[in-house]
Amino acid sequence: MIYPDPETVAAVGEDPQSADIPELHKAVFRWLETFVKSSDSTSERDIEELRQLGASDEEIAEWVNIASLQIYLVSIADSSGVPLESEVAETESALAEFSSLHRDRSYYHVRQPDTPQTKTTGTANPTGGQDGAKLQSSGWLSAPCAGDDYEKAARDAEARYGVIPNLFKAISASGRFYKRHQMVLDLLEHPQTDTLSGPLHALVRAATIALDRCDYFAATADSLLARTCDSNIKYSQLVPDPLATARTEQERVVLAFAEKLIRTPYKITAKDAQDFRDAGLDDKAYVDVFNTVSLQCSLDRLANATGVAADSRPLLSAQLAS
Amino acid sequence: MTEHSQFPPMTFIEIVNEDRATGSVKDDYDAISSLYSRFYGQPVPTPQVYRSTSLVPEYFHLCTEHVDAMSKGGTDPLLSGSVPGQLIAFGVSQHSSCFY
Repeated sequence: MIYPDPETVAAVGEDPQSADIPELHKAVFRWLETFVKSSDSTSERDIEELRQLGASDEEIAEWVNIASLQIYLVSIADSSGVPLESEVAETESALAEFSSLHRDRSYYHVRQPDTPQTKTTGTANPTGGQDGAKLQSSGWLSAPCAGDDYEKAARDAEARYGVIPNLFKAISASGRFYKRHQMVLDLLEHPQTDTLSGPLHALVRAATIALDRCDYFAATADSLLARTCDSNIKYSQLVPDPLATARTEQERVVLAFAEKLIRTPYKITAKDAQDFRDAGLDDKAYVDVFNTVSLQCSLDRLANATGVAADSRPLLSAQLAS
Repeated sequence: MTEHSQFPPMTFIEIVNEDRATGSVKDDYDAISSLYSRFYGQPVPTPQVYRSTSLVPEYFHLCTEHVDAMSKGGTDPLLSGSVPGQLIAFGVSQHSSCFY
């Protein structure tokens, strides 16, 4: 157990800022709130606050990677309505006591922000971060760009894209996540089922990037749209309101779902999956869409939270790029 | 609810549980369960959250890599350090209001 007594655990679950926990933990919870709710408004100042409280860049790189992976799990859990571990008879053991808020916390999103660090979901800021700090090719964290894991990932990525992604440089202080991130980039290049069309997949991926205000992936979104869709939709058209670009019922259903998953995932119900079926899309397409949105979200927030500048080329494999 | 039902309570979509899993999905069930079992030091089945992707093998396979990366091959419970990894995961879940 991380905290020594149940009272502290309960207090953290209620409101970490009022709990009797280290200041670093409170700062991390504030940073995570921004990471989850408006990652485009994170800034180097957030990183600096963690440093001031004793965190090393290596630790912060580790945390941002874990947060990125966890946002994926949260998203797929909300999308699919899986039962709690404690509700499943076969897992009444180690897993039953692990994780799970086990209660509705949707009120958390409608109450007034109670910390000065809480920022409103904001406007895209191409210069990076709410305080206007410049984005850097290697991001806001120190980036050693060394070690076996980094060098292998850099080599493989350069062979795929013709460039080493700045995102990989930005997180090079914590190297064990590269294989997972590369698998995600590969999965995001095209749909993984035959019931979701290439154009619809490209549209929902680009819409996710737009909704996350993640300029790091803007060129990738544009390139994917240009190569996959027969329309002339651009990333910039999706930024204000992706749903407004929907031309068919399937596009409307899929884009509405993507927006809900990004903005208010806790509101997803079985009706969202049923809406897919009613629009002629099956459960495989639903799984494909919620994974596409969730995986892109995890990378968008990783890029937004590390202040990494765009690459010189879109992150699409040579085969697709040509 | 039974483990073998196609649509467990609350689940919005079809889940391919172990009894129906074949090929890479079966292998990934074994791999995820093995990583978690190492993590807890006792037999643990694949957590529900990963099952949500079981209908599409490519995503289910990613989950294996996800668990492997997160737990350093099932060896690290993420409970150490100035801010343990479990606390980061909890913070993300809390601010997302994720019921699971």
